[in-house]
Amino acid sequence: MARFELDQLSPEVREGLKCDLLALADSKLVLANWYTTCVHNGRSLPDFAAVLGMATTSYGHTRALYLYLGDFGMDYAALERRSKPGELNSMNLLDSPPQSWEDFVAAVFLAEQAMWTFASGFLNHPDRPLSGLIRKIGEESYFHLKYCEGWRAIFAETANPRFGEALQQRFPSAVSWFGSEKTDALHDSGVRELPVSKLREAFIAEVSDAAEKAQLSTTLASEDVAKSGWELSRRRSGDVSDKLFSIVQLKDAEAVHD
Amino acid sequence: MLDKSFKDVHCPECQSENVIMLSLFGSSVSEVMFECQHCRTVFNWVKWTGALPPTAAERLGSTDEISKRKFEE
Amino acid sequence: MTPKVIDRAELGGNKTKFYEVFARISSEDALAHIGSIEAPNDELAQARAWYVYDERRWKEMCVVPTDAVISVTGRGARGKIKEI
Repeated sequence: MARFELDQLSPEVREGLKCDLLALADSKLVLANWYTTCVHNGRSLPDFAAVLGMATTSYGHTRALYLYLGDFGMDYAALERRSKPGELNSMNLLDSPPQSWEDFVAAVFLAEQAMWTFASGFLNHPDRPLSGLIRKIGEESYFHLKYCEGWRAIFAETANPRFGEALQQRFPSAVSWFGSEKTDALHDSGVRELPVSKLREAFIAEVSDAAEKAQLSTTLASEDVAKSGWELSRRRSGDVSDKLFSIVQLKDAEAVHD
Repeated sequence: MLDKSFKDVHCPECQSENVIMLSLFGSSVSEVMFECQHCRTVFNWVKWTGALPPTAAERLGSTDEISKRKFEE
Repeated sequence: MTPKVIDRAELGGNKTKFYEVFARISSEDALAHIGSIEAPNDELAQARAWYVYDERRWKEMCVVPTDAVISVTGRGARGKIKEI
């Protein structure tokens, strides 16, 4: 059976798919860096193992997605070594560092859930390498989400108000990643299983459910992305800070040996 | 009709998804025994392998939106 | 800068809970005991076990609370945990 050809897609759809996969990959890259930077705030040795494990799988997803983007004419080496903050298309949610352990768990949960809900739109994609890659991301995200679920249960049991506050504070930024487009060319062409507006709805449902199970009385408010300079092609507004970029950026060989 | 938790089971010999369940308990308690209708192989499948978190489509319960099978045999 | 003192409550309260971890690589193997994990609840036990016992890519893994273990040869004694 012939492999699904990306050339079959219209230029607009092809570009949209490329941008969405890059936004997903860059978000996973930044999240992986969150994990490696914050690991020592874990609460036990098994927590360190879990956080480092989640970092490893996140880097793995980034790498696999960058390699897949080669089919869109992107150069892996160039993707690995972005030179300016303006080139990084990670989600706004991860721009500001965690302020506490509760904030860390809240942000990481929102990021993992958003990325999986978004990726699941491609799970049944006709291109087998892509659907297989998305399936693998799902199987590994299962454990990332399970870890977050465990921590939510502890916060609920100990009636920790800081987690609910953090979730409420981070949520508008998280949901903004889905944009507010009413139409979706990728869905119309069969590339995405559901319109992105439906993915957004699913994400809100997942977070609401989790908040309810943790007995939180949070208000999950949305952000109006239209007026904030949000770009669909990057799924974000503005650039990441220089500080964040310097953490994420792969250093050139010469700089590393200084 | 197979239970939906078995919807991704495929024959290890010929990859066909046209399988029937012979027994809920295969060689061990955590295995299900299937027979492939395409090539007649009998195989065991470990329950709950490769669990995925709910997809957006599953979350919204919109079964009419689920796309058709990935590949035709 | 004084390090933050972690409230025992964050670790799941004053009780430490242990789980036994069982796994296998393929359906030819028997499900075997590979270790234990400490966690305050089932979800964290699942996640921690998966990441701590990462030397193999398990096809199946499960965790069982240690206090669910009922000894047969120990004359009905339940799994005992030393308080830490």
